[in-house]
Amino acid sequence: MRDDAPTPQGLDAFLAAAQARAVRVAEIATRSRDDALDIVQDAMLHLARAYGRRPPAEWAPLFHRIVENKIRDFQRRQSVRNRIFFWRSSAAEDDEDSLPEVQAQDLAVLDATESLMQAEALKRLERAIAELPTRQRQAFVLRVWEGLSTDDAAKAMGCSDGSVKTHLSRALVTLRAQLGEAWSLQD
Amino acid sequence: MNANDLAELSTAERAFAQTVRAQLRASEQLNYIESARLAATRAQARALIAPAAHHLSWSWLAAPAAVAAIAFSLMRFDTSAPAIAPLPSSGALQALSGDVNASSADALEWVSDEAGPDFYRDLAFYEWLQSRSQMEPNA
Repeated sequence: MRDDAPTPQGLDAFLAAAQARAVRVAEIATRSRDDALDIVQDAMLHLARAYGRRPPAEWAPLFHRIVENKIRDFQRRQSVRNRIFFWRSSAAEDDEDSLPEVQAQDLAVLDATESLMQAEALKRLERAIAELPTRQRQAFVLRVWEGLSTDDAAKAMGCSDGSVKTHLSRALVTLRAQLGEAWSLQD
Repeated sequence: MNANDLAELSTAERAFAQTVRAQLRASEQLNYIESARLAATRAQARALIAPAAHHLSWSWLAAPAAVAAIAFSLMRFDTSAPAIAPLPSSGALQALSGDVNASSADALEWVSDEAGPDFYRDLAFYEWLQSRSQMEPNA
């Protein structure tokens, strides 16, 4: 069997490595952990169903594109829902309704790895990324966070290499302006 | 990390991007419930691209078995119908019906269960008797 042939084990290994980051990306975009998990689960099945027989080298840009499309679909549904039910509370307030045991576990994770100040700085970073225009956020996530090459990021975004570089540059300018030059989580 | 990673950025932008990247990646945590949930989904994804050969082998066995079962069930029907006997003569039919309609010495007789006149005479007497005595309870 060729090394680049798709296998169930290979797909499982790829998804296991990508799932945690995909959940965080979706969580920042949707501001909801549960919705992020739903999006990532749907994306996994979509990748397997539609592209599972493609060469494994194509899975990364395909999976990220699927995740971004599902995030966009979610945001469109949210905007329609908010227009209809305009008295609904904001997503920030919905976060406070998470289960106590999940909150306790999140806090335990934060206490284990970061101080409270670092947690606040991380929240600022997440808000800044979420507020980026869609294409800038995609370019930032794919190039900086995911570490994809410009070529793979362009495939995932469905645009040219030059567009990816332009969007990334603008995203970084915006983030640095919002977070400040001295921003850092490491004291 | 690739040496050419983010090469198109300036030094300051690259440093900022790498710092942000490190912190974002450090925040990638899943609790055990989330990990189990995603593991179940990955199992479904694996099943979607699993080779279909072993499924085909079962279908190749099932099809002949189904044909054999249908053929066996049809074999139980005897297609050769028995010949219908000719109609008996009128004399034979009359003789047979005579046996059916003949009276029998040990045949049961139907007796009406309607009460005779003695019953109603006794009932009237009993009711007269009831009316005479206040103490006697009703039957």
